[in-house]
Amino acid sequence: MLPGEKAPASLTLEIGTAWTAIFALLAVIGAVAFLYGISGDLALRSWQVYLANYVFWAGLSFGAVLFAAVLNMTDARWGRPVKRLAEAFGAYLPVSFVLFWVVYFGRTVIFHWVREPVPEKQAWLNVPFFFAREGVALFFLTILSLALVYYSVRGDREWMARTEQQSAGSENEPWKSSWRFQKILSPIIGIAYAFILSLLAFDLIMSLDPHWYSTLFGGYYFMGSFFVAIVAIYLVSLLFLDSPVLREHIHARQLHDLGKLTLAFCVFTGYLFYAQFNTIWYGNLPEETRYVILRVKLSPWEPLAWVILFMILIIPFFVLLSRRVKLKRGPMIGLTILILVGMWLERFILVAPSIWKREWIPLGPLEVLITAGFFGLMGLCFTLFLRRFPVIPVSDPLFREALASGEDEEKLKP
Amino acid sequence: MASDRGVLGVFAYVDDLLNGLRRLKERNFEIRTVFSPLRLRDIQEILGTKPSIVRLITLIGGILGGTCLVGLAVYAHLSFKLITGGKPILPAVPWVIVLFEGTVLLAAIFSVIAWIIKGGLPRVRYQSGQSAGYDPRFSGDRFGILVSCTDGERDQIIKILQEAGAEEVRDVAG
Repeated sequence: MLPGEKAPASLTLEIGTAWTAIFALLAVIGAVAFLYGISGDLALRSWQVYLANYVFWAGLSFGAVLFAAVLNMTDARWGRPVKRLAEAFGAYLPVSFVLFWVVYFGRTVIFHWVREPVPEKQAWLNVPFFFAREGVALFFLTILSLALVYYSVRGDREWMARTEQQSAGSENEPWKSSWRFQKILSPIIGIAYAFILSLLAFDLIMSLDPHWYSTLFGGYYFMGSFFVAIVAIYLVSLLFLDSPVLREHIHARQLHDLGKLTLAFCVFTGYLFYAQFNTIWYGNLPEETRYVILRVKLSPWEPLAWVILFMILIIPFFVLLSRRVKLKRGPMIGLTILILVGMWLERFILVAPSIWKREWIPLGPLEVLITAGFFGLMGLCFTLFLRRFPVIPVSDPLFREALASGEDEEKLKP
Repeated sequence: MASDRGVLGVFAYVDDLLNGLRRLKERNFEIRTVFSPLRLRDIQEILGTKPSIVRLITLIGGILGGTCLVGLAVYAHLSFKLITGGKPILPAVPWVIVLFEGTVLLAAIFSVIAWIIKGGLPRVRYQSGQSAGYDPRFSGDRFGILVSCTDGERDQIIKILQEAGAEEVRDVAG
């Protein structure tokens, strides 16, 4: 197979062009709604929901690539069949990088400190330095993540183009070098992810309220994003379970493990939230409590905060305790969608109350349409990627090992 | 019971043990017990045994522990009111930790007690007949399968056990 050629049909997902059209349409609708919003009276609402969407979707795709990197770092054989699904979310990263620069045009609306600079923080919070450091950091992490995806896909292309002699298992197999690059890149991505997503959280979310600070906030954001990514990977594995390629490789074991990870990271995200919340509650310092009280104690946000707590922590925790339910397709699709919507609302409640000062929650058709636009863009990148490349990492040595040992076939009784 | 007698197979490897178990199960022999020095989920799956009641006891312990410790905190706070910084007398936020600790503490204690009672401990002296077929090596580095059998089945079972890789096969009475 030559570069640029499509993978054989037996290895790709059959995603109809109708889906591409629907996602493209959603993206266009979102763009139109956003442009309509920012040009009229709804500028504030449009910009805040744009930012909330940006941090949600960027976190998701960075987190998903990190998930692939973690699979590489830990030599996890169980997760090989979902590795490419995780990497497919990375296809959104170049789009995400472009979408970041749109924030530049809304800076005066979004960031309070642009309109009224905070003298003691001006060394850090000033427009040129802000966009320079975010740009460099995002560019760096995007390139790293895309390189990981590239080497993974390149290995598969080389594997599919192999000749008779190469398949005999010599040491010089070209896809082995792709695998080595992946092994080198994975830990670098792990470290860069933590630093750069922390920076993103501090600058894009925490600086909306420039007087408030929480040291854990960066960690909370990047772990939350990793949680979102795991849930999204779980969701797409469940959705594509019927496709002929994945049915052969995604078994009860993979679903069970993804369910366990979802439970673990649901608890961990909840724990990080509580660790911050409890400390702020105890300390009772006005500059710290203000941010929290606004969101969890005051109208109009209080009811929404409770709804989010149930959606991302309490309901998933009790449902996922059961081993059997993790293998049931319908309920798990429902639960993962619930968590994803909950996490989106959680990102929204981190962003919006700092900007929005009126007595009602700004969640209406405009917000839904702009979010649909982002969803459409993500869906478009995801499906175009999977239509082009094999949906299972065929050249991955660990995938081949798992296949050879028959581990992949292992069945779990539901 | 159909048979008081049994055949014991001693295995050195888990794979052989599971293999033997599967074959015996396929032919519907009555497996009286499996001895293992460590917990193996596969054994339970092959035998199809019901989960132990210990799980329920742990849950009850956890719920009891959580409520008791929060109850104690409520009682203490109401008896001796320490009002600081406008915080409520009965603060729910930090009690998440109290609830958690109480749950873990009593759940663990209840589990241990349940294991001891269910395991029939303490068993100071080893008495034959009390646990037929038990061999001290099953607490060390060997696995064992005890199969009930009648005279007619005996040879078949011995053959299966030996084919599966049993180191040693012997008759057990009682």
